[in-house]
Amino acid sequence: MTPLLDVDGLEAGYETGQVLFGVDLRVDRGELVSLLGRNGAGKSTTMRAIAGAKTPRVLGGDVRFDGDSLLGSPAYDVAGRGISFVPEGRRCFPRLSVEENVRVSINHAENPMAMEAVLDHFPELAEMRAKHARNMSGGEQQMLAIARALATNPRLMLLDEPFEGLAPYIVRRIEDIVEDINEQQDITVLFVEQNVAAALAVADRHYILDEGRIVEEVTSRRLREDETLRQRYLGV
Amino acid sequence: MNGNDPSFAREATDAVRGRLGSLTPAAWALLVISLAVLAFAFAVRPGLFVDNAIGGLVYGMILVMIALGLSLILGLMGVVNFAHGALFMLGAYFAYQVVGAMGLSFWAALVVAPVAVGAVGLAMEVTVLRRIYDQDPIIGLLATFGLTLMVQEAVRAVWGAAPLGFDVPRALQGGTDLGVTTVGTFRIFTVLVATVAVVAVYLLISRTDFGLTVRAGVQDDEMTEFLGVDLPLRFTAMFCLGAAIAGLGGVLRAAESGLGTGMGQTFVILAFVVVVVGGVGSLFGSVVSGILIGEATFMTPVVLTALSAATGVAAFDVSGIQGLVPYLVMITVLLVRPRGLFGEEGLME
Ligand SMILES: Nc1ncnc2c1ncn2[C@@H]1O[C@H](COP(=O)(O)OP(=O)(O)OP(=O)(O)O)[C@@H](O)[C@H]1O
Ligand SMILES: [Mg+2]
Repeated sequence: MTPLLDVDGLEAGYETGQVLFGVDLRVDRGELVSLLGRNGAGKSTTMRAIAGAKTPRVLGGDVRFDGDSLLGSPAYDVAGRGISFVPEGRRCFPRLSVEENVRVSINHAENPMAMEAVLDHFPELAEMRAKHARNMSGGEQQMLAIARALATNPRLMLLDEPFEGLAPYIVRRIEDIVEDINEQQDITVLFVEQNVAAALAVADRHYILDEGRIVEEVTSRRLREDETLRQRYLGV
Repeated sequence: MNGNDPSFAREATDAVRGRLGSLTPAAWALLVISLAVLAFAFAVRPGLFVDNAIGGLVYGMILVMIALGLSLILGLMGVVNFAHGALFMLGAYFAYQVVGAMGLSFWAALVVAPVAVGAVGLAMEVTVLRRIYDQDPIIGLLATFGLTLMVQEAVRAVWGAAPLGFDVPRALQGGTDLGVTTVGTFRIFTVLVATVAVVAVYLLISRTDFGLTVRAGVQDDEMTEFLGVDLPLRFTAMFCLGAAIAGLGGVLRAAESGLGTGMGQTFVILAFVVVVVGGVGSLFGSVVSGILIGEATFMTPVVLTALSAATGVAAFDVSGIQGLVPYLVMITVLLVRPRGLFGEEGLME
C-alpha cells in the first residue's frame, strides 16, 4: 500500500543556499511519527516544503500525499487536499478572537468539523471564545493553533514544535490532545520536536534529521535505549 | 455573521475615548483653542462658515472613498497603489462618457462607471499588481506609477486634455435653504452616497465571512493560506472593490466640480495623507482622518478671514493656504502620534 505521506529525496533551500539534501521519510495512515533533530537541522524547512509554503524553494525530489505529488501546489491547495499545518510559533491571528480564528479554517475546509465539536476537545478555549489571541498565554495559543488545524478535519496533521516554550503541565496537556487527535479522530500526525522526552511520550516511530538528511529511522525503544545515538544527533 | 464583534458605534466610541484619554495637556489646550476659534468664526460669518463646513465634509468624503481602497490594498497586499488616483479619474471620465457624450441618465452613470472602473482594476490586478506583491515596495510604487501614466495618456487620447463637465438630474440640482446659507442638493447627495459606500465596506469587512478572511489575511497572509484560503482570489476581489469605490468617488466629484486629467494625481496624494494621518491599516482611522482633513482644508480660510476681520490685521488672511492644510495636519499628527490617529487598534491591522 502507498504510504499516506511519502517524502522522497527532497532537496530544498533558500536564497542563501541549499538546506535539505535528500530527505526521505514515509508516514502510514494512522501513525504518529516524530521528526527529531537539533537546531538548524532542517526540520522546519522540511515541514514547510511539504505544506507548500513559498519558501523554501524545492530543488529536487518529490512529496507525495496518498500517491499524488504535492510539488508545485500552493499552500491553500495542499490544505485543501487534507493536510493541516501548524507552523513554528503558533501563528494565531492576534487580533481575531478564538472563535474567529477557528472559523477562518472552518470556512475554507472541504468538510470541516462543527465549531462546537472542535471546542469540545478544548474546554479551556470554550471558556474564552471571544478573547483575542494576542491576549492569550503561549499554551492557550498553542491549543488554539491545534484547534484551528483540527477544524479542517484533515487526514494528516503537521505540527512544528508544538511543545516549545511551554510549562511541563501544559506540555502534558498538549501531548494528550495530540494523542487524542491521532486515536479518536483517526488523524495521522507528523510532528517536529527537539525534546526527546516529549517525542517518546507520544510517537511510536521517529526520524532523525541532521544537516539536511535523514540519518536514522528508529522505534521508541531504540531511541530510549541507544544513548550514543542520542548523544550524536540530539546532544542529549 | 459574528455575534461577538462589538458594534461599530461601540468600537468607535472606545477608540475615540482612548485617544481623548491619552491626550496631553498641550493637546487638550490645542483642541479647546481650535473649538473656541471655530465658534468665533461662526459668530463672525455664519453663512460662510456653514457653507465651508459642508464643502469640507463633501471634500472629505471624496477623500475617504479613495483612501479606503488605498488602505485596504496597502494592508492586505503591502502595495502602495499610486494608480488608485487614475482609477478615481477614470470613474469621472466614464461618467462623462455616459452622461455627457452618450446622453444617458446620470443614474446610469452612477452604476455603470464604478462597475467599469472595477473591471479596469481587475485587469490591473491580474496583469501587473499580482506579480509584485512579494517584491520590494519601491517596485510596487514604480509599477503603479507607470500604470497611472498609461491611464492618464489613454484618457488624454480619448477625451482630450480640456476640462469637461456634465449635468446632473433636475432632482439633484438646486439647493436647500438653511437660513444662513443655501446648500446644494448635490452636495447632500454626495455625502449620502459616500456614507452608504463607507458603511457597506465596513460591514463587509467586519461582519461577513469574506471580511473575516480578509482580516486574517492582513494579520498573517501565509498562515491564512496554510488554512486553505485562496488568498490571491481575495486580493483580486478587494482590489476590484477598492477601484469601484474610487470610481464612484470620481463620478460624484466630476458631477459637482467637473473633470480634468490632473484630478487623479491631486487626489491620490491627498488620499495618502489621509491614510497616513488615520493610521495605516485602520479603516475607521481613514474615515475620521478624511473628514478631518476635508474640514481643516475648508475651515482654515474661514477662520483666518474672521480673525483678520476682527483684529484688523490683514496678514492673517493668507491666501492660498488651503493647499497646505492637509500637509500641516499630517505633520502635526505624525509629530504627536507617529503611527497616525488610529494606527494601533485598527480594524484592518
Ligand atoms: N527563511 C530563511 N532564509 C534563509 N535561510 C533559512 C531560512 N529559514 C531557515 N534557514 C536556514 O535553514 C537551515 C535550517 O533551518 P530550519 O528552520 O529548517 O531548522 P530547524 O531544524 O527547524 O531548527 P530549529 O530547531 O531551530 O527550529 C538553518 O541553517 C537556517 O539558518
Ligand atoms: Mg524549526
